[in-house]
Amino acid sequence: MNTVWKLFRLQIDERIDIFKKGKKWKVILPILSYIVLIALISLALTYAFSWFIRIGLYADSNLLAILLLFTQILSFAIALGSIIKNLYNSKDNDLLMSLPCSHNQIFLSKLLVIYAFELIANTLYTAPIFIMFGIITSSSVGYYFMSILFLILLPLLSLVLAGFFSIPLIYIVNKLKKNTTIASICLVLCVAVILGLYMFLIISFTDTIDFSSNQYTILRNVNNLISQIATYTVVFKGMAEGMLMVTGWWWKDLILLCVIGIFLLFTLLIVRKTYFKLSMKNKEMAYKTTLKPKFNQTMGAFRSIIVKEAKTLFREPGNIFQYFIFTLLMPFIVLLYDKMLFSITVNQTGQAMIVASHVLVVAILAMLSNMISATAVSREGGNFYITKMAPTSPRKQMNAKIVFNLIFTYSSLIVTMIFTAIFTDISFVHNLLCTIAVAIISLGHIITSIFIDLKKPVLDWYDSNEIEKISKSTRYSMLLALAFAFVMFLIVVVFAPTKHTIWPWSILISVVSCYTILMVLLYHFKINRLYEKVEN
Amino acid sequence: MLEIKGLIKRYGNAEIPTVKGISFEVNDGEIFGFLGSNGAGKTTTIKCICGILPFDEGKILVDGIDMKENPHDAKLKIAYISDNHAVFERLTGREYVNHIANLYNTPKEEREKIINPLLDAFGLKQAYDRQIKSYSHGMKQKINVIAGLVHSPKLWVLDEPLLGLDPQSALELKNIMRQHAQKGNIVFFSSHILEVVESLCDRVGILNKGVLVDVIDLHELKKKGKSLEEIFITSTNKDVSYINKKFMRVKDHSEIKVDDKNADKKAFAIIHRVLNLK
Repeated sequence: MNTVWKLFRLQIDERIDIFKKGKKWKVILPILSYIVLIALISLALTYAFSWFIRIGLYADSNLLAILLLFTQILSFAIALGSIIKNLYNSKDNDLLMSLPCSHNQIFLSKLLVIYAFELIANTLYTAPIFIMFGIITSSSVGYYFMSILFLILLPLLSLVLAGFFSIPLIYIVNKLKKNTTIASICLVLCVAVILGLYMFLIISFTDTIDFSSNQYTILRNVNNLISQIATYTVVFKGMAEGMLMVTGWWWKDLILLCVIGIFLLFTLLIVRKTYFKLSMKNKEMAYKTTLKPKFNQTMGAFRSIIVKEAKTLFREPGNIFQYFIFTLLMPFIVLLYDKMLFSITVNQTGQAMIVASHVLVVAILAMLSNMISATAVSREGGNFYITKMAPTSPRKQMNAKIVFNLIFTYSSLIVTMIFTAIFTDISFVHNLLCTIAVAIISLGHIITSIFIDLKKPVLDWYDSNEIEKISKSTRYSMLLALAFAFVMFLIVVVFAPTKHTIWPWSILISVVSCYTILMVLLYHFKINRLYEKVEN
Repeated sequence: MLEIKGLIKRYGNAEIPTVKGISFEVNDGEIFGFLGSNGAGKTTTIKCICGILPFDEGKILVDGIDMKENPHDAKLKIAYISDNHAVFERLTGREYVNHIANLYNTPKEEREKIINPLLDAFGLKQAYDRQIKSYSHGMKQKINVIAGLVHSPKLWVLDEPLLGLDPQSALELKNIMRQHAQKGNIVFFSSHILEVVESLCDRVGILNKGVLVDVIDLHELKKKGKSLEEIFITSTNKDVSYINKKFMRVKDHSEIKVDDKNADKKAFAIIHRVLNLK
């Protein structure tokens, strides 16, 4: 057991500083932030749900079962990704295998690491729900005791399920790795299926519940819907009844526990076998992707950089999720959002709010599509010297990266504008002016993101997926995107009640243009100097 | 010709620079070896020469072009092979080489004339249309060499070029380096393998803690019957710490405080010496 613990610590130390000596604040600060975050989420949830309960939402085992279902779907997705990445495809497999310990000890330590991270993630969004539910139902101490027990058990359930489904998935993933084009198509198809399901759910939901009726009718419909869905979630219903100690809960939970236990043992046995089978394979030469022979192609440096960006990004299917998910989803999310908003009957001020909300969502999604620029320099990593010593000015190189980003953001914006024009009631003028404003701010945001990355690029990474964890530029860029979008929303809301329709738009476009022009000027004068300062 | 005059490179706000005012010249058609212990400043100097790292003081002239004043034209004349085999791994060998050729604006006919013989020499033809991520370390080094030579650089800089190469490929690379110099170009490389340096180079520079302690003509050395190893050991063992004092900076004299009464004399003596040296 001592060896398993040492292996566990070795892997944890690689990721976080929790066991390292002499770094007290580095340990205490994240823990405190984590607790504060849970408290804040709990507070916000309690406030929101108290209001719903006051107007007639039932806080019973059905609601708890539904909430558990949603959180555990998320946990399952996280666990599945974690098993694929940290168990089967982990970079430290070779190192661990060379250590003087048994394979079972390695396997067990790896599972413990995955469980630990799953526990941290799951607690972050499940604990606030339990706390909120306890407060609004004035539950007894027994409920909180059961909550702690379930907080420990729930990640195990996600792990067991994810472990089971990871086996066929890892074989598919490894097969797809050999052909990145098929992999990318599959990923896009998967996104389309998920999107289709999402649209189906939203449409069914909006069809079932008539938002134009009064709030009591709406809530009665919601209560009925929750109880209908809860009858299908046998496992979560059992758990919810166990937590709320509904009559006869203990024998249901006992059966549940036994089933999970047997399933856990069975899954562990097959996952263990798959893990060793895959780890023994020589990965270095596993993916000999030979592309169709071509002729040596000449093109200008600017175009060559854009083509290089596209090839290096799209040949890693994970990048599609990482960088282009918002670009792909923007038209659909905006459409659904607008559909929901327009199903509510509102007065003139409400109409202005709807338009402002449209601006808010379009701006957020468009600027989140710019995340790729927040790692424009960091993504070069060890190859940065190649771009640094190229006889092409830094400005020209960065221009190519900006154009590459704009191609996707603007394409998505145009599709969104067309969808909005065809499928919603937003007037053409509002739609067009919103698109222009967002297009302008997007350029400013891209340049700002590049500046953020250039100030402190992370070039020393092993795996490109690490960049976002090490570098703070993506987080700062996201925060900026949210702030910009909120300011745009405020401008439309504040100036909308005036007589002239064009007034809020003129102010909005002037403000975003001023910011973008300022950024373009700064970029023009400072980019070369900032770029030269980067050392690797 | 490559001319380096009083090159000083400091990382961040470090008081003592990594490269301490080195000066030397490398003539056309010469193979110049750059030697030094680990951390001597070889890679830093090389990166300054190639325009990868900005430097604080001094001049670097590549074929008469100043790297600081006209980096674009200077870089057009340089190729650099890094010691870390870094390449865009998602590209195929062909795509990578052509991307580099595009950056240097090399015409199609010229690049084909250069690429094909090199692919044959390194036995890389089969793997040329494969993504670089599937290459071995040696193969990555070979594709880097091809990409480096695709624009026929006047100055070819290589950092530990033989690292990870099999004996056959190492021999090929050494031949290519000789041929490149014979065309009137400069080959400038760093290595820890003294036998290779001795057999390839015309002259070597020995770096010790950022100070260029010796520039040796290997043909002369052979005539004298001395070994490079002997010279290298003597040069790298020289105490060059006195040079550090030249670079110590006292930013604000008023901030110098000496609390320990007993240390007064000693401390003032040191400060006095530093200020005098400045």
